Amino acid sequence: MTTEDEHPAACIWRTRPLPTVPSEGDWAALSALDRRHAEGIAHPAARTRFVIGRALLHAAVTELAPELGHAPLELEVAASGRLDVAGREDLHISISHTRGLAAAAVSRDGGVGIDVEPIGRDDLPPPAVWLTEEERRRLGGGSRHARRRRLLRLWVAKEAAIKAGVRPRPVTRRTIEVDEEQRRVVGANGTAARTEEIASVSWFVVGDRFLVALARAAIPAVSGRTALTPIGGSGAR
Amino acid sequence: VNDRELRDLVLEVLSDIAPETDPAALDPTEDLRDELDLDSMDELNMITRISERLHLDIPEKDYPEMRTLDGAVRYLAGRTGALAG
Repeated sequence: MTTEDEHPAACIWRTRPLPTVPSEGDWAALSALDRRHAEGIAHPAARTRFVIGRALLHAAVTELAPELGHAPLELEVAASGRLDVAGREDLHISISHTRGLAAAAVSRDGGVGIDVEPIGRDDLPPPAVWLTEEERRRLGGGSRHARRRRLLRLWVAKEAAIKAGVRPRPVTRRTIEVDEEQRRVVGANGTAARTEEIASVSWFVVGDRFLVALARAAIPAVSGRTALTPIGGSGAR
Repeated sequence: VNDRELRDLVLEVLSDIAPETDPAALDPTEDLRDELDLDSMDELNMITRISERLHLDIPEKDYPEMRTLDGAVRYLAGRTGALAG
């Protein structure tokens, strides 16, 4: 019996390398609505990313909530832009894809967000347009390589926190602040007290090539949560 | 700055961000992320460069208005027109 059997995971995340084209099985995981949307995507790589992201989410959701069976997931886009599983307000989901990898996260106990980027990516936007003044101050000096690694950690953490549906809304990149040391995201710039934690964040490296951030919206403690146990390109808590 | 110039500017920036694609062939009503395989970082780079070229501050809450070529041109025309006025 594993730890997860004793204490069912409240949140899992999974990653998957992107193939050139999705398989029939991947397409079969999509609802009719998502399939129509995918078929309308002009760019082949963008279409593949969409299909694999949905198929991976389907696998993760059915793993965490097996009672849903293997039928395609009916997904809804909330007014806030967040993706939800129709009729299952208890499930929180998030998808991310970048060139080469898709990632999906599912949670039973509050908002979750996931973001993935290639570690070697060097086209980050100018820090002034997406970091707060405090984050830029903390960034400091160091080698170009070290600075780029830190910037990428901040980028994926912010993207994941925004997807986690953190409050207060509307959340933008410059109204939240990443505290790397405390592994949390707090409100900034007058939208919330800077000490207010609005999400926890964890970083993982997948296959030596990709950096993943997983954000959990701040919530009251929930019993039965296990320790975070990432296994390769996946994890649970 | 007229609509045509704004459209050319957006296409020029897109050509730089997604050089392997042909922005001139894209459907102006479709999501740029799907048309050109852009992600959120590409999107912010696009908006930042347009903002710099036009000397225009574009707040993050307005980014969704620039998700299509037509939407971007419409938004920029409104903003630059408002500034000129």
